[in-house]
Amino acid sequence: MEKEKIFGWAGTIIRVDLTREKIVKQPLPKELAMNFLGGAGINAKILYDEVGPEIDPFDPENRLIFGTGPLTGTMIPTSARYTVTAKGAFTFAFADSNSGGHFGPELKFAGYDHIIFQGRATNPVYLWIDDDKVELRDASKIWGKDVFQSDDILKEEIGDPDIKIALIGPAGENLVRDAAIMNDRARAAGWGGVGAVMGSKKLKAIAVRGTKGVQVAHPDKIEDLFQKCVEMMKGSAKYKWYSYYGKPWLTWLRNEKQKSNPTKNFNLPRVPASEFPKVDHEAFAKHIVRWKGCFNCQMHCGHVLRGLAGPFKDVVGEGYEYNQMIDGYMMGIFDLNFVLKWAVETNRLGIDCDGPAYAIAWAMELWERGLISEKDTDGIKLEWGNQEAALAMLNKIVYREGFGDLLAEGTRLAARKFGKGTEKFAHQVKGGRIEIDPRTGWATALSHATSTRGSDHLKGMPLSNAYGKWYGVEYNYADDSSTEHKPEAVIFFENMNAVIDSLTVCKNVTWTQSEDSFGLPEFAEWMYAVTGYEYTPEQLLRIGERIYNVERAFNSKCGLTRDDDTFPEKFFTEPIESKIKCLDRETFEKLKDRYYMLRGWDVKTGHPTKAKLEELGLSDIASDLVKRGIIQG
Amino acid sequence: MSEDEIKEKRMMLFTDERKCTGCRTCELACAFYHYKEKNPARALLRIIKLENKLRDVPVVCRHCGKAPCLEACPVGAISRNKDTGAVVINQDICIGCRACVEACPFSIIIVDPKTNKVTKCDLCGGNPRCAMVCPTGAVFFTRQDVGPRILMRNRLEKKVLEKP
Repeated sequence: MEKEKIFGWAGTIIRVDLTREKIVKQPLPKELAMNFLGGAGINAKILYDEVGPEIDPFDPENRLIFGTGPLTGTMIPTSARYTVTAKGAFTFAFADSNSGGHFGPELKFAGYDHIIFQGRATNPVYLWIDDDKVELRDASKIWGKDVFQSDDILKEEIGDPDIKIALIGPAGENLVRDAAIMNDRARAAGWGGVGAVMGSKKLKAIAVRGTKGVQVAHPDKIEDLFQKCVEMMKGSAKYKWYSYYGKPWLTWLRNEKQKSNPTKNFNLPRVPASEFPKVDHEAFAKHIVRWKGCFNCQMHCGHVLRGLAGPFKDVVGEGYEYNQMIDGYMMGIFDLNFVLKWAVETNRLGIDCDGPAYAIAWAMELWERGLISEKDTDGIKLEWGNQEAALAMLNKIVYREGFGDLLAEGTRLAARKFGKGTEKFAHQVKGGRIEIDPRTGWATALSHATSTRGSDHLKGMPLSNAYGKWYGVEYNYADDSSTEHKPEAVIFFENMNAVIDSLTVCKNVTWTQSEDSFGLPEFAEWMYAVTGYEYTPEQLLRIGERIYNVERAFNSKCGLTRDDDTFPEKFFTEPIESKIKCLDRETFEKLKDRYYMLRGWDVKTGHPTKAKLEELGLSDIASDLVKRGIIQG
Repeated sequence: MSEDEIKEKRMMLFTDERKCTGCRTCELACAFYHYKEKNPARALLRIIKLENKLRDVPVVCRHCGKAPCLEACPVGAISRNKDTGAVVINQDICIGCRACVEACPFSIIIVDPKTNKVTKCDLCGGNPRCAMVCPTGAVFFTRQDVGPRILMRNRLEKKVLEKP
């Protein structure tokens, strides 16, 4: 039978069994593509189907799934992203992480939508994808080498300086729970410890050369559509800020407008006024050498930066964003030269920037309280603001040496192992560190508590007024002090973001960030031009709901319940300068009730119900959860 | 206008490396214009990523006045288009010897990964898509005499982007 011509999707999945050294190419099932789009959506469904609750994140039977979407590599703006999904190294439940750069499109150009890794290699290997040729190769030469060195050596070995590589550094090899998967040197799939899962499989890298390109259904429409999109993007209110300052602009928004910035392990509500001018977006802009964009991105929120003073004056590196600035604040370091060094070092070592910063901040609090001393930390003085100590400890974390071995477990596990009541200083939800203070408002709190991959703002936090625009109601995301419309808005964002991560495009240019940028109607238009399939915006949102339910169901399968959707005590008791001061427990629990009810989930357990799952066409997952006795039949 | 005047006022491609963000939208648009597929591997201009030096360098064909590729071609397959001034390859005559590839001082004559044929920039018939889509003006298409003045201003202002 002749293969049906498909557009947008490449149409092929690679499955790699690392234990048996077997590579199989499978056609992308049409039903899967129709119902889950691609990227994060298809990844989540594969994870649910293939990984059971008994599987440890580092068990060979865990899956490491890479996914591009139907729009990846096309001329749709910001079509640069790919998603990695696995049972998470620190969530012990669902985790996914996505990254930009040039790796995702290259994988698509080689002709593949997804790669599923299972098993564990006997000796370190890397996967070489040269269009149709896919093979496992010996990686012993680069095992132990850092990200930059490995990138160089692989390009040399393959003999093509323009191949695209996603790889792990020493952090991933040493199973540091915050290890990232790096691509294009400074781009990271940093969340969830996906790099550690990759390390546990003894898989060092994936190198790709793709020359086959992507076919689109309506090539005659694409050029005009592209011009229209770019005009719309450049006309959106946030564009001028993002395209110049990038994410570091947010530090001003948080510190000055929302009166909250994670500082000194949340012991300060925000960066003090005396320090802030040293570390705000204007101070940041002085470091800019030039701007960087991911593949086909006209927003260029990335930068090449240069150190300006102090011991890191000569550091030049591809930039950091708001997160790395938080890392500095958390450790009490108010110096952007250090932040640049921190960014370059975490990239080089292949570790998420925030993970070690939060762990070190936790340890600094212990130090201040006299719970640890030089005897515990191998002589490193973990005082607030000690730059040398932070960098020395980062190295110890990555190589799991001494006290670093404990911190390499991430704050939740480290505190649990250390004991002595220090768990209350570990600021996390489901193992994921808290990056935006939930005390700033109710939608912030609810979205961080219920996020399927641990405390996180990119799953469902309303960062624009798109919810109001979509439903035609009054909604001001910037005023987060009332509970009105908040569960509805969070659900809308969760579903919509699931669509965005599955298409896949970058959230920075969508309704996630700005209601005057691309949203559901544009996504439907793009899908038609690229794939030829006519989706309505409502249908896309429904797919988003389906995907989010799969993620939640995976967590239910892994034993997570409503009780895991909460924050450490501090956020309920210690007030900050925001309107709501701190979280009132009763209001918070009532808000959750309404959220689960609107979701069609069980209010008591937080699990998706059989009826909801069946309504979404997920009866296979419903019967699985019933069989396991997690939900009622 | 006389032929000489036309030559002077001719539009050409210019690049300003400091403005390049390395996004490769130009490569994508180029390949799409020529082959109707999303495939930067077939693009006729390149953004070279010198990762160790943190540089993204746009490389375009300069359609040289005294083109080494044209002179190197042993079979006369390369000629100049009278309307656009573009130095173009006639695929019917080209024997695929790649002498032009080696002669080009900018190494921007491409061997297509799908067909293995030697190809090069043709200025999209006078409306180059790379310049049309570049978000920052790192690749731009303007009159030959105006281009240097734009570059000069970019340099003097030392500003890559306008501050909001």
